[in-house]
Amino acid sequence: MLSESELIARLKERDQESFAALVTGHGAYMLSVANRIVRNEADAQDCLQEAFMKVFSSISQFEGRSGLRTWLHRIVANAALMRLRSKRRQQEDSLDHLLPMFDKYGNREPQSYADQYAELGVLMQKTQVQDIVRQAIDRLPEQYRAVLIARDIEGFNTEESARILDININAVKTRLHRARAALKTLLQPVISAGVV
Amino acid sequence: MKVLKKIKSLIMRYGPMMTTCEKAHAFIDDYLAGELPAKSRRVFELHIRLCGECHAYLDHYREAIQMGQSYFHDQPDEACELLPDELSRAILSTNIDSHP
Ligand SMILES: [Zn+2]
Repeated sequence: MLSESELIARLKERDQESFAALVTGHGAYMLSVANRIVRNEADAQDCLQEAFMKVFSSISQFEGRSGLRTWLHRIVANAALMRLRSKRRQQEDSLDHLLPMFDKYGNREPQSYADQYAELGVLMQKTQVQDIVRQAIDRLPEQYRAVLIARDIEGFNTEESARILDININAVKTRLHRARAALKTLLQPVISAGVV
Repeated sequence: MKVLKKIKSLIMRYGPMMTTCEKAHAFIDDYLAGELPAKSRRVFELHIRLCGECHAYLDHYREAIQMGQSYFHDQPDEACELLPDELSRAILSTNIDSHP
């Protein structure tokens, strides 16, 4: 078993066996990252192929500032988010019903979480918090979900997210704010229960 | 109750260094990113200290973000299943083709 630095050195020499070792060692994890973002096995496999092409073509520039796994994760997440771009053409879905309300004086109105509690009653019996969080994120309309994943989960900054998703910086900021607020509403019962 | 709400809103709107819940809400992301200018930051923090609803909202908002970060992906050691053979072969053949 090669150490990470040996593996990287051999990859930079374009050693074919080390490429195979890379795919075997990290491919399944990378596929799961892509799958989580695009939510479709065939798309995820395409993203993985694209990601490895990028890996193979840019391994010489890998400087090892982050670990290999982190670098690979970032490349495949980038590929998966770029794939979501094509899906955003659909009509903008609304998530207004999940956003906080304010009265005419600008005071925060009490928010009702009855729907979220009702659903959670069923969920709590059969799933873990991880499933609840994933389902909550999956329920966000695609254009909000993509921004939330890019910024909060994958850690791309505002400019990078704008470039990857092909939207302007203000759209990244507005959608992120709305996506976070909606996610908070969806997760409120879990948060209130102090499950985490 | 309505009167109290009205009084709160008058103080929040017209008091020195005060702001409404709605305006404070719009600052949340910049606040969390550490990007609020000093004065706005003081106004925001004062509102959060004085307003229980916004205080709770901010805590839960932050928690929701952290939950997304913690639970969205599998940990690397959890995603241990192997790639389909066909997919591995396709990836490697592309690599060999493009880098002879
Ligand atoms: Zn408030």
